[in-house]
Amino acid sequence: MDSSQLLKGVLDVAVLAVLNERDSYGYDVVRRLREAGLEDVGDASVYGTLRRLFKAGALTSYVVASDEGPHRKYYGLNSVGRAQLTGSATMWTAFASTMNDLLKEVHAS
Amino acid sequence: MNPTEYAQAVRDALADLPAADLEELVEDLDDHLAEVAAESDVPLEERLGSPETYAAELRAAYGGRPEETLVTRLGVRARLGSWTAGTASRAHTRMSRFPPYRQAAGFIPDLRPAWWVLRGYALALLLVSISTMTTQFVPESIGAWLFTLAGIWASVWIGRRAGRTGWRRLLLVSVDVLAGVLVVAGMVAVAEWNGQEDNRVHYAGEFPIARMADVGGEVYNIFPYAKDGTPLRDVRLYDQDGRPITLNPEVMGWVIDQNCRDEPPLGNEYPLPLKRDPAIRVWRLENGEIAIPTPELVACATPNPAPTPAPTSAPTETGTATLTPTETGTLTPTPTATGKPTPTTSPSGD
Repeated sequence: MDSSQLLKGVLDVAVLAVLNERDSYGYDVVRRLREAGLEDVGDASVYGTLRRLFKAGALTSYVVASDEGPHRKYYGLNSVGRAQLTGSATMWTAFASTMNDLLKEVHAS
Repeated sequence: MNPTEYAQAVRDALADLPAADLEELVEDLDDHLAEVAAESDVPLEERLGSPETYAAELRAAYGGRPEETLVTRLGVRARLGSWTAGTASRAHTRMSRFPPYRQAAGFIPDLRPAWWVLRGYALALLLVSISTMTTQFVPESIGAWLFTLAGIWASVWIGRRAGRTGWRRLLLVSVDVLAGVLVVAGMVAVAEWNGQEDNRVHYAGEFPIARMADVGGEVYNIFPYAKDGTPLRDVRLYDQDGRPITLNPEVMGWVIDQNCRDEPPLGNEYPLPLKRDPAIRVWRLENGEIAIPTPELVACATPNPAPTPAPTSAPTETGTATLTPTETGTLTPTPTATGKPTPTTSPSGD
């Protein structure tokens, strides 16, 4: 199974979870997701997801000037984003536990 | 490819998005790509793939919930539009409880291609009609046919391209409304035309038989009746100035029958003794010639002329003549009768 297909459905939660830890700019989010184990995550997917979540009103954003590199647009969760993360996390946990139950036999063998 | 070039290539690949949408999406793409590029010396194309692939991935990630972006991006008019759409969708949700509605609603999208064809047909024929200064419900020449087919093809092609927004959508809605009006107007015109076809009587003669039916209200004879229902004859009609009121039965194919009388009848003496104009014998209809049956509206029987005029005029005079004597006759005997007993009593009293 192509893990990018799985990722598509949960990228919103993953991005929200990373931002819940601390505010980040686009490429930092990509890096942190990859460090967390989602190595297949696409740069464009993360960038597009951030823009969409921002547009949907789940994120705040602010620009931080940087001396050595380009300006960085940081994103953080607002109340909408936090509520969305909580809801998605609950749903994911239930889903994951269902899947684990289904696949118990496979792991055992 | 440096970050700026790469970003521009991505923008180009997304150029079909509405301008405002595109700007929202890529507004800090340059900074982002610069960040990516700063991390490594490996060219961007190798790390991120081609700008087209990147754009496609961006589009997929960003376009997850198009309705949200639509509402926040557009102005008051669009918000009003989305409010209308919201009301409509709520009504749709309520109505969806009823299975017939669900079936109909599920069926309607299947009809969209049919509408595209009809729309193309109507608009193409409108242009054909305008350019040829004729009214064509069906293309009447090879050129018109080709143009109409091209119009249908274009309409279907536009219909198959989904996801238009902004002014293009507005334009398309206007075109749809115009096409809808055209279709309805065309149907009404064809229906009227059909109706005329039913009523029309084809004739080739000098006198239009159709007018008989059309002008059924036209008076060409008058039948006076008395209060008790007795038909009156030979009633002379005059207007307020004493002029005879006459009709023109000749126009309707009738002539005054002079056989009934010795002297020519008066034109204002009703009912007119009419008979079919012998000059118009045959009416040519579409399917060949047929002879018009000549029913006599006023039967002019031979015994009639002699007795009828005589009693009607004579008895009225003789009636008044006989009445006066009978009254005087009955009056006069009474005094003589009462006079008679008086003498008889007087002798008996003696």
